Amino acid sequence: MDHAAALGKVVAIIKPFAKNTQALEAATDATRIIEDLGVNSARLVDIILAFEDEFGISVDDESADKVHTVGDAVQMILQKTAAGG
Amino acid sequence: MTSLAIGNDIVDLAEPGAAGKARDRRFMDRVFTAEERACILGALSPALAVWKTWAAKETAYKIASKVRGKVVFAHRAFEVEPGAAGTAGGWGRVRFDGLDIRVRWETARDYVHCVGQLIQHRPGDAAASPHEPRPVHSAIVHHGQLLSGTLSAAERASVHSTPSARARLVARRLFERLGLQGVEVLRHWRERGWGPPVAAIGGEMLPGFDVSLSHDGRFVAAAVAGAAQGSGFLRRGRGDPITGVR
Repeated sequence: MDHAAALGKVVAIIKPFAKNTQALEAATDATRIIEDLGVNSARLVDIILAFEDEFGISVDDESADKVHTVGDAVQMILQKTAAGG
Repeated sequence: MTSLAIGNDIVDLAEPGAAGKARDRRFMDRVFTAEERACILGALSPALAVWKTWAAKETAYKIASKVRGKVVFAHRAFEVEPGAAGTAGGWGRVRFDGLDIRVRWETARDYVHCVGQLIQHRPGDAAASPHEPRPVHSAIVHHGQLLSGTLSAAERASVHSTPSARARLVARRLFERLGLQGVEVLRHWRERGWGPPVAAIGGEMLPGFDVSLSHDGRFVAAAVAGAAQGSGFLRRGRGDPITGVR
């Protein structure tokens, strides 16, 4: 999976939880999930669980804590899928 | 060094995704300890108990971040012990890695609000000696309620949304209630994001005071505390016009 494919999937996963849909449509790696997209912290947990389901990975607390931006999520997913989950 | 450390968290119970969380097994397992899950599922209202416990963890995380700097938010590591919880509120404590945090909840039909204060910490933490609980003043404002005031340029630098700005105005009003005019609520940029809010006047940190901001859905909330000794723990602003929702 390349960066663009991962980015597309990440945006699709976040979509049901994002209040600022305009910002999501224009999302880049730098887009902040909570501040820019209006996702609250409880929904961020739901998003992490959805990443686990979609990509067949396990996201520990330390990795989850580093996900602030869309790019952080993409990078974590690419690393974990490359490492076999 | 932090002379006192407070936190607060508000949950809008009408937010999409808030309902039915006590039945969401994966969410429950990821966020709550086995003891917490048993407590939540055995509560009169598991739906409410989920968010009370969540808000206590968020509150404690904000406090831990002030005392320790960067803290990984591993939800289960913040262990919530409910105290004499009533249906409309109650108090409890949160323990995290040597920190002991007292919390108090206020609940209503459509929100849960938690306020907390650091009571004990480890030697070497960036906090003053353990102290008796001090009064914490807090307020909740509904999104339909007008809030007057203008933020300074320094305050606006860390504002990312309308609720984020409104929470600062609520905090300012609380400081005014303590007799402090012209307080700014600033957040300083850390390595990868904004640090906790701090109180300042004229760009200078206000020693001996702490502030906490929160917003979710239709609500914004703030809590402030000063260094002066008080007899109570958490003093709420019942009847005050800025509390808005009751």
